[in-house]
Amino acid sequence: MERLLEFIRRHLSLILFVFFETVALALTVENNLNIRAYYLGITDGLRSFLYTKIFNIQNYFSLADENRQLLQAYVKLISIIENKKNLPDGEIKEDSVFVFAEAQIVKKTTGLQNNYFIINRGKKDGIEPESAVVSPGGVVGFITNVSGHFSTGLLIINKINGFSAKIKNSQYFGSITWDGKDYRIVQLNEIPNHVKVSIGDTVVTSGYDLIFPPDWPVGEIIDVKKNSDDNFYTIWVRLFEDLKKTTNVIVVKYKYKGELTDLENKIFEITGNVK
Amino acid sequence: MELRHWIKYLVFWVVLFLLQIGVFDNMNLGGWGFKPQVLVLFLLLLPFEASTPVILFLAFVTGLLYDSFNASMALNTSAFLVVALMRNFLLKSLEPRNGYEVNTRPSAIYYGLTWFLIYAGISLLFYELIFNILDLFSWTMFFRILVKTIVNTLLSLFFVVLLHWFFLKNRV
Repeated sequence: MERLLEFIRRHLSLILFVFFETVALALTVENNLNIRAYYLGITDGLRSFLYTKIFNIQNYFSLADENRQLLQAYVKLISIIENKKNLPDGEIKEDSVFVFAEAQIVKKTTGLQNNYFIINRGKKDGIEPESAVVSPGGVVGFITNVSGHFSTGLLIINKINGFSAKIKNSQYFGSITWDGKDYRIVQLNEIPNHVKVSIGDTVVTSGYDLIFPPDWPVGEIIDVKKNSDDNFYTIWVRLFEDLKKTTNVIVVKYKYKGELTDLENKIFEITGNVK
Repeated sequence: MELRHWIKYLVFWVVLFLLQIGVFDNMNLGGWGFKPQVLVLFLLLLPFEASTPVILFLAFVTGLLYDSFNASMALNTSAFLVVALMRNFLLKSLEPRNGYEVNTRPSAIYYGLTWFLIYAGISLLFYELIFNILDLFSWTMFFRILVKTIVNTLLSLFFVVLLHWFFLKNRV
């Protein structure tokens, strides 16, 4: 007995190794599903907790890619929906009125008086000047210059160019401008002061500027003031889109824009208005 | 070893374990799924005084837990046990001429990077060899076993050395 203990003491490492290794190998080659299930069941709770709660972090690595894919799918769908609106009996024609393309903002400013952005799509991708740039939740800006692979444009928070917008479910439209103070808040002008306007109303694009597609969400009304010197309101609108965060955008091209501006210019010749 | 040290080791173990299952196991590079194995670092850095039975026991528990997370049955456990068994032999054969100093641990901080690379490299090589043989287990896979073993060893070695510096800077 003493010699056995002595033997065990001397070769404890090896004995333990053989024992553990046998268990391990038995588990490895064990095809019995019940044992496998039991074995996995021991740590199941902890495992699922770790994988669902903590390792959700992993998703962030693929988030950029997924966003792009989602946007692509969205663009496909929205182009179907938007173009359906403009067609009788919901038929989708090959030559749609609006052409949608997804893009990413590679550079932008929000702290200036005339804020601009650059997107990673250009002439090669069919982008043209005066195309609208929107996001699924709001409006972003419009293209001003196009190069081979990139385009620059003004964000809607600029003091050069406004755009046409209206209060949802009303036919009164005005123009959106920016006072250069808060990048989240723009002003809607030229709404006559007999119209009923209430705080919380949604403002959407009108489409009359021939840049933005009609009825695209812009923001909600947070303040209204009657002007004393004319018969219009000044309306403060909080943008739906946080332009500081926006990276994934959609470029919208109005297909018959050239045709329409030609016609418009003819009117200008008669009326003497300048655009 | 004092209790304080064991608690530090426990924290070290948990961090390594989470890193392994959360980050490194998800790497799966290339078509054959190369991935680094850094959990072995825990066995490598145990103090010199740790006896082989203790190391074997720790390897067994760690291996089973890790395997249950990977649903890989006990493949890793087998490989861990081999590394655990050979650790003290390996340390003995790599012993510097004037022996290991007291109050040091088998790390590059005390015995240099070259020494550690050899120590960790041999351990990881055995680990990967055992693991891949058991995992693929067929002569037709000979080439694949060889490539996976070598690539995984180098990959693991890189991360092990990196993590080793990081942890030992904080005196684990």
